[in-house]
Amino acid sequence: MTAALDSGPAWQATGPDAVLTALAGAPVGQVRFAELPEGTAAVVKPASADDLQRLVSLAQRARGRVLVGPPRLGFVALDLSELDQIERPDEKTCLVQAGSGALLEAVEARAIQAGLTLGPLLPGYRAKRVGGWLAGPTRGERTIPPGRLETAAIALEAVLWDASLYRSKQTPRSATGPDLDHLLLGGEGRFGIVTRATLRLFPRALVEAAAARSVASLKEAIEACHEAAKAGLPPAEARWDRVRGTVEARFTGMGAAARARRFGGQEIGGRKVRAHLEVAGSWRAWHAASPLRPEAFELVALHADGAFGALELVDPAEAERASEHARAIGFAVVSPGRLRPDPAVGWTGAALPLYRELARLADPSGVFAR
Amino acid sequence: MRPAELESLRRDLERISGIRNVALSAPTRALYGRDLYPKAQVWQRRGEVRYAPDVVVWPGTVDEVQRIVRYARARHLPLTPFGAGSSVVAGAMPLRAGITVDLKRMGRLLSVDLASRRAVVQAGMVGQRLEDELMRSYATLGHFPSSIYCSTVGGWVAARSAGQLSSHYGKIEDMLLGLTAVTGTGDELRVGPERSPGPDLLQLLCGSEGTLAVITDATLSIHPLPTARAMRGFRMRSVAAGVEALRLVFRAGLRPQVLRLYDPLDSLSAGSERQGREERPPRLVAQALGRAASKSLGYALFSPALVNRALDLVPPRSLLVVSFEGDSRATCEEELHAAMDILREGGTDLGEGPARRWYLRRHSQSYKQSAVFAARAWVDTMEVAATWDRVLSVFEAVRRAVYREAMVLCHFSHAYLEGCSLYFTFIGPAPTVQKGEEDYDRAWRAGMQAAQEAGATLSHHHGVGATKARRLPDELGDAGMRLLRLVKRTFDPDGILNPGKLLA
Ligand SMILES: Cc1cc2nc3c(=O)[nH]c(=O)nc-3n(C[C@H](O)[C@H](O)[C@H](O)COP(=O)(O)OP(=O)(O)OC[C@H]3O[C@@H](n4cnc5c(N)ncnc54)[C@H](O)[C@@H]3O)c2cc1C
Ligand SMILES: Cc1cc2nc3c(=O)[nH]c(=O)nc-3n(C[C@H](O)[C@H](O)[C@H](O)COP(=O)(O)OP(=O)(O)OC[C@H]3O[C@@H](n4cnc5c(N)ncnc54)[C@H](O)[C@@H]3O)c2cc1C
Repeated sequence: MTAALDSGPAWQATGPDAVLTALAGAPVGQVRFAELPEGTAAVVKPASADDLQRLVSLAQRARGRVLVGPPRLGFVALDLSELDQIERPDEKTCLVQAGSGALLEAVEARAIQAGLTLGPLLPGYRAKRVGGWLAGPTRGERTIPPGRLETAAIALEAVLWDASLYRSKQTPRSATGPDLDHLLLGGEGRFGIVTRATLRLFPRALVEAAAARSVASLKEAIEACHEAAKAGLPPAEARWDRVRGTVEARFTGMGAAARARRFGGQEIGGRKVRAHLEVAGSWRAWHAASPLRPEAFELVALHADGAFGALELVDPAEAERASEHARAIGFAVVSPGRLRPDPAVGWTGAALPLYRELARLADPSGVFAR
Repeated sequence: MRPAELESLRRDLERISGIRNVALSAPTRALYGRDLYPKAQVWQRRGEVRYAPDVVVWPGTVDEVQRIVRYARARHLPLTPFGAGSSVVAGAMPLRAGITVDLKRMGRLLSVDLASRRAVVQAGMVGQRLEDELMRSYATLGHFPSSIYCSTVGGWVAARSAGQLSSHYGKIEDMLLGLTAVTGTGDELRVGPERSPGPDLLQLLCGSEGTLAVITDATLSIHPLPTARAMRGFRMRSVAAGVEALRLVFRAGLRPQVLRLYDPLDSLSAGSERQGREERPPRLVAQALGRAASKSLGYALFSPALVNRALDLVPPRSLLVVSFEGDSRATCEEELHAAMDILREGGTDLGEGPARRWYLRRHSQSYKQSAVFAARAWVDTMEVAATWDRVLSVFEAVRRAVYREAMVLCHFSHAYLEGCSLYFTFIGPAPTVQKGEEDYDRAWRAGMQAAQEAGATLSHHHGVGATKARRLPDELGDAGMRLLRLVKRTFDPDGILNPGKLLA
């Protein structure tokens, strides 16, 4: 990043108030992209997609780099918390428009007011923002009846590498070529910064039923969950607890009571949450999860091939070891630790080189490069 | 291409795929020069061959596909992947000649694993054969397009196809767990079936309509074959009441295998309701909708506007068909009764009859096109989708836009929690071939524009092909088109794959 800045500082793009801080560098309001290589990182808080477009355009000219996430050397870190507007959820279409900086728990609160919900979320996700949920490794996916995965985003707005604004059409499905939203979903910001999304909500379940079943081990608990997922209409959530020796499942919607009866036995109560290892994995990985030595697990997005889940660990200091091990048995680890698309899972042949080439072409000046 | 060039083309391809698997004869080339784009049927009737590949080749392995693609790339020859040629948007027509690669020799079911609910299928396998073979393992894919007898797995994935039971099983993109494909550089890539975190490359290749890669196999999710069924027909008070009922059924968490609503006119053509006296269609309309189009259809439709006005007199009642399938009769019944509680609010229970008739005739309706063309008329379909807040305005806008050129029928199928697809059929007169073509083009343009302006997507499951390519920028916007071109440049840097499709 040696090129001279020809068109002004970051605050020219966003206004001085948006430049929050410049760590170990120039004072607030004086952040220049060209100064960043000197070990300066800046945090900028755009107030609108428009702001962000101007910022990206500037960054491009000055060969600066922009990312959403914690401040890093040589980058302008974006704080998107100002893009947090949430429109009124539409009861008819079960859709809600939200800025990418809106917190998922805030979206959920609005949804609930309208009798709708985002669906079950892992504990760590409740504090996530819409953009991170969608651009992150799990692509904002949840299970929809009768038990398949679907991303919550029906349409996206994003600022691309050339500072243009991409907007996809709001339609339940289409056959209009490749689904380009999937460059942004799970794209970790390589193809653009999501500014806004239209999210699918579920009607809050009118019918709900829970059941608990005694199990002797994690292995048996996973078997019970896998069975329920395979039978179609899986539980919305399932949790296992070593001390109690039970796996509990919550079913919603049509036939919930019947499915709960089929699953197991008696009613159940709540418990306290501890340190979590959040993972996404196939049933094969789940069947091999015992060596991670969790005390309990909570599964969401159960589908025929696998589930997302949080493993509860007795000792939070175990998290690093457990997450290494989880990767080794084929889990995608969502937290703790940053997750990168893992080409070892599911991509072979020319897939990875093509993806890299695509990312290079989609961002020729490296504005979003890592 | 000069004869000497053709000869060397033949020899080179024969070296890759064998003597029996390469053809350059005029009849073969003419056959592969068209797909089921309705206008191509008119050209064919006139004996016109507008497009033809230089050569057709049937590879038997992924390696052969790779070698053919590399060969085409080295010689800058266009290459069109071909499934069964059932595209209705000119997707499989070789607009710039070159090599047509028919995948049907790669037509085997490679593995079925009902325990993990997966099947691996070669791209050239025809739909019905796949279902037949899955049935031996007591499994089903649950994908039943009307073209199931004449379309392939590769064509489905390439065009984002939807089957009649999609309300339950989803569209093909919802069933896709993995695929193998050969890009425009001849490289093989494999995605899935393990789900990688991060971007979903499957969703970029799905819908690529032969422009990014030649798909050679797909891993698809399968289900146990249902053994029980509970079904019903309803006469809904109006289209609006019917659409609202579809929405509420989904809203209640129900996912029936079949959930279809026909507008009053399409209800007559579906012919599933035993009509009471007051519901008998005007004679003209009855004639036009005769089970097989009568010879005089073209005359009957001499003035579509007049016919449409007559049709406005048809009682606004709409037929709705619903069916649940599963492994227990009791569960299906339970779900059906929950749906019936909703449907009764807007309509009248007609018993099982209409649904039974729908099952019996579910694949036959779509195959009547050539009879219509023979009867001095033209016919085409347009399938779009919209969210619930826009469905009725799309319906009205398209009918208004095409009022003068054609009789318009519509059914609403493929529902989702947030909306559904609208499937229009246009039937217009063709007193002369030229007049027919002009009216056809005008009606198509007007209908498409009206749908898009009212907020519908350009296509729900037929794809873009060549016929809708010019409208794609309205759908994707400038930024979207730039992204699409970029994806194209990455997968097919020399632009040899299916030129003229998607990107006009
Ligand atoms: C000033 C500041 C200090 C911070 N300090 C810390 C810290 O100390 N520790 C820490 O762990 N985090 C820190 N963060 C990061 C912050 O916690 C989150 O990363 C950020 O707010 C987004 O959270 P998320 O969970 O929604 O997305 P993440 O889980 O962070 O995002 C997942 C992935 O998606 C990308 N992404 C996120 N949003 C978008 C978007 N809108 N468009 C495209 N791609 C996107 C991310 O770059 C990442 O690759 C800091 C952020 C700021 C602004
Ligand atoms: C009577 C009738 C009824 C129909 N009903 C339905 C329906 O209910 N639902 C529905 O979705 N569609 C329907 N269609 C449309 C059509 O059947 C679908 O578009 C189908 O997916 C096309 O499959 P195909 O194998 O015939 O492909 P083709 O027509 O051969 O090709 C279609 C497109 O896919 C590409 N392609 C084909 N194979 C491959 C491959 N292996 N790799 C890469 N690209 C490939 C082609 O290049 C072309 O762009 C119907 C068509 C007809 C004629």
